[in-house]
Amino acid sequence: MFELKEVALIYETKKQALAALKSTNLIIERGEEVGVFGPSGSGKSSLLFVMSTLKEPSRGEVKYEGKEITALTPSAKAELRRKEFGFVFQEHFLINHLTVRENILIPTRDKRGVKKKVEEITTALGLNDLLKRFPYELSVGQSQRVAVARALIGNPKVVFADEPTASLDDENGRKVINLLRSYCSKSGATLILVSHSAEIISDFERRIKVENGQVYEDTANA
Amino acid sequence: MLKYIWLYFRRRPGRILVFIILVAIGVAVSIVLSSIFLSFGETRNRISKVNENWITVQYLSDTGRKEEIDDSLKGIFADVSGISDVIQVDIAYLGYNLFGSARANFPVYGIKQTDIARILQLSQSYIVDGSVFYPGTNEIMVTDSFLKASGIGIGLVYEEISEVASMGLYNVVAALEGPSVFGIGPSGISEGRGAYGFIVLSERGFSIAVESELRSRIAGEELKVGVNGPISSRENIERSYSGYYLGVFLSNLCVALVFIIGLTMLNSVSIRERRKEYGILAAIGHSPATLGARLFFESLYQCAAGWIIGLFVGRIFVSYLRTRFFEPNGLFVGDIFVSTIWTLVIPAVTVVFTQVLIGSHLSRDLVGLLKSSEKKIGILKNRFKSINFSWLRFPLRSDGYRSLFVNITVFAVLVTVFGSLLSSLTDTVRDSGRFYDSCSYIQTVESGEIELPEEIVSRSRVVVPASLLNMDVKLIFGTTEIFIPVVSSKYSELFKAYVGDISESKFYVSEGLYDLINSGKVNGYGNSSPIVLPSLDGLSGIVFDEEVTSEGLLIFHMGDDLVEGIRLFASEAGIVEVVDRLTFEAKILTESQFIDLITSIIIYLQFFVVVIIAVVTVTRVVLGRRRELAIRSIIGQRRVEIGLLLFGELSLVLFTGAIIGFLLGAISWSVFRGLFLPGVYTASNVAAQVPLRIFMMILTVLFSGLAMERYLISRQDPLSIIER
Ligand SMILES: Nc1ncnc2c1ncn2[C@@H]1O[C@H](COP(=O)(O)OP(=O)(O)OP(=O)(O)O)[C@@H](O)[C@H]1O
Ligand SMILES: [Mg+2]
Repeated sequence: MFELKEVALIYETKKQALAALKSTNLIIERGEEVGVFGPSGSGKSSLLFVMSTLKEPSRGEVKYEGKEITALTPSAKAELRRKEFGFVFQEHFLINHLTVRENILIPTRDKRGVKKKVEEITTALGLNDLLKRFPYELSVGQSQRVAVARALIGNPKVVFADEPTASLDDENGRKVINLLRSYCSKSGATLILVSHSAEIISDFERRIKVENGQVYEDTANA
Repeated sequence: MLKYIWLYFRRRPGRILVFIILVAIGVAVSIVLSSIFLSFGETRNRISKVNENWITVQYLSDTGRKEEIDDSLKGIFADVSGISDVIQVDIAYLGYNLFGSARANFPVYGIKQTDIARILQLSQSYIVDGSVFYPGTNEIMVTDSFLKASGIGIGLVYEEISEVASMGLYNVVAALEGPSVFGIGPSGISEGRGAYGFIVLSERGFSIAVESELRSRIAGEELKVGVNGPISSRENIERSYSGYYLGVFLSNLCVALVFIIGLTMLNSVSIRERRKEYGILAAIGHSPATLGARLFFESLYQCAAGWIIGLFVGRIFVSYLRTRFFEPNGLFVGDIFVSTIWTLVIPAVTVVFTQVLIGSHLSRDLVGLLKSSEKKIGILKNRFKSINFSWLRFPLRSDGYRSLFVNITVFAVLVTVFGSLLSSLTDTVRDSGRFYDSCSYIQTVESGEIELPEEIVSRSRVVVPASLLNMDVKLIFGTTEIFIPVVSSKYSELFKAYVGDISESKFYVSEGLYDLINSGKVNGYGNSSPIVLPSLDGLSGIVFDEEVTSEGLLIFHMGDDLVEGIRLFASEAGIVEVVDRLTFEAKILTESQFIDLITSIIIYLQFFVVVIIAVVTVTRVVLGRRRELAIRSIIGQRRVEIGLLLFGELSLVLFTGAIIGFLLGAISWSVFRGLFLPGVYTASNVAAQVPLRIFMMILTVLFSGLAMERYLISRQDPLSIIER
């Protein structure tokens, strides 16, 4: 499904060029559950951004379903993100002036048949009573769950989650992760989840360690 | 204090420069506008000034000099002491075109050729071009600026149609230069009907004494003779200047309002953005008083800088206009001291308003100030929870668009009010000629019968002997002349279409004219009391009299093509006066020239200011939403969708604001009209161009907003926006 060949991401700052990713080769198959871990600043987020079209690699190629995606036009990339990908970030990134329900609905264009789906997801996430609230009326954990709902509403084939539990307590963190995992295993979607701690993803079927811009398969517990 | 201000300036140089430049433009524009108005005053001043050189004693006559008056005057002159010499003159008057704002009459003295040198010396004038006139001709020498004002040159035969006090043909043979405006020509210049009299020269230092002595002596002998000298010329100048101060006041008021509102809005935007800063400063121990003082000096410095630059630029511009506009149009530049003082209004009021705004913000409690950080701006209360229309969500739920909305509303009001005010002035001229849309008046020569060619007679509906009654209608800046035909009652049958059944000799006028006459804004209609006739349009009227000394013919035609034919015939037959549709078209061109100038200056200024303010506020809205738009982009909304969302929101806000503003403006205009312009003719309720102008304004703001979005957001990587 994903195929990264010699991918490098270099941040050019005024003083120096910093390689956040150094010639990465990686293949991820459909339906895989991948945990990415590594120390802060190692390049985990960078890897996610490159794969999800949010950043263009400085070198190398990224293929999704056999297609080179770095060459797509901005609107084709947007289309791809909307139809195939779902995002959950460390910060929930909700839009302040939209209600929970409206936030969840942003990625959907075809409004028919969505109602049932919203209900399904919000029930599963325990958000049913919050649909008419604005984000500033939610707790951090609730906001994170809304972000998850928004990521899942479009039936994504790939879910990218960048430290989705960073601002949550252990229990809520586990809940969110379990939710993502159960969605992916049910629908056969690929999950790529980033966490700075190896513990959270210890039972993932595949784990990738990022260190200093280099990507390694972690086979410790395999 | 200065250090903080310098810090603020370094942080926000763009905003501050925009502010300073706006102040400067406002100040410069108001100096230029004032100088235009005051130049009319100054030019009139020069025209009145001719009487400071000598005392003119004059009487009116249709039949040439009157021996008995001349003799009585000579008797008086012999008695009054201090008179050094008396020159017998007849006087024709020419109309001086004050760039279409008004007309002022100035004298052309008919004198003997041998007096030319003396008159020139007394008036400190000299011949700059051309040659001296010959006796027994219609040659005249006039002040050069008059030629410029009329757009004619030396050697041209100058034909004045009805717009001069003394009609006739003049051949300009020389241009004069000097401090006053006048003309000289051979004796007999007023051709049997005009003013006659004497130029009285006094001994050095006696002029004022001689003038009052002559005045009282002439009044004592009950002669119908006018005396113009230094005293009356001074009164004249004061009177004519006062009208122009009103003009300066009104136009500067427009400009000042536009700029004060604009600048205060600009300030309000930055004050809101800086609330958190105030909060922090207050939290670390600045008292509201010191904070207030700091902000006061901040805006004071900005305004002062703008004022100085504006004054400088304005003066440079005026001196540029002197050679490019004033002098070529025969206008003299006046004293711009008054206008300079006036320009202080813009910065001063802005500083005061800003201080009031700041005060209202600082009076909030500390936590409130601290919490109103930039990110949260826009979110207010829990309101409008279910809106299905996504374009309405942001505008209704947040305050983000508030300043833009207020801005558009206020400017729509201003555009409506000023646009209507200014265009109603042009409409007056247009409406005063409505009657002549379907007829032409030609003056017949020497009251002799005139043979109209068969071609004209066959194609006209009716030809009626008539004369014209000339009246002046007061405008806000100056007056305009209207022409009412006077016909004999026996032709009243022919006018049934206009006036219905006529039973007696009466003065019939349109409703508009009736109101004007009743409020005393019309001069020259005599003692007849008018009757309103709703079937008459615009500012027209018609007089039926038992006996009419016909001076011309009124030709009612059906097609426009006859107008030119009649004109052609009239000029071939040597007919001097023609009044028809073309007369008014020409009048509209000249008389509204000035109003058009002022209108476009004010309209474009408004446009300019509103666009600057709008771009600032739109930028603020867009910047405040960068994060949101980046999130939308990350989760897969395309640029087009985001652009469409902004487009929809912006158009909704702008159109709603504009419509509300337009309605408020229409109401304010009718209130303004009722309060300040009673009796001044205002033709239209709201000028037709107003909605178009507002629409153009909205479009400009809309597209600058979208361009801003493209520039600030779309072109950037959404992640880098969020990471910031
Ligand atoms: N916009 C940027 N400009 C310059 N350098 C950047 C930028 N973004 C990230 N970096 C650098 O790239 C490297 C990799 O960053 P990345 O965000 O991928 O790390 P990470 O593994 O996600 O860290 P964390 O666990 O703290 O989120 C870091 O050294 C970081 O300093
Ligand atoms: Mg990271």
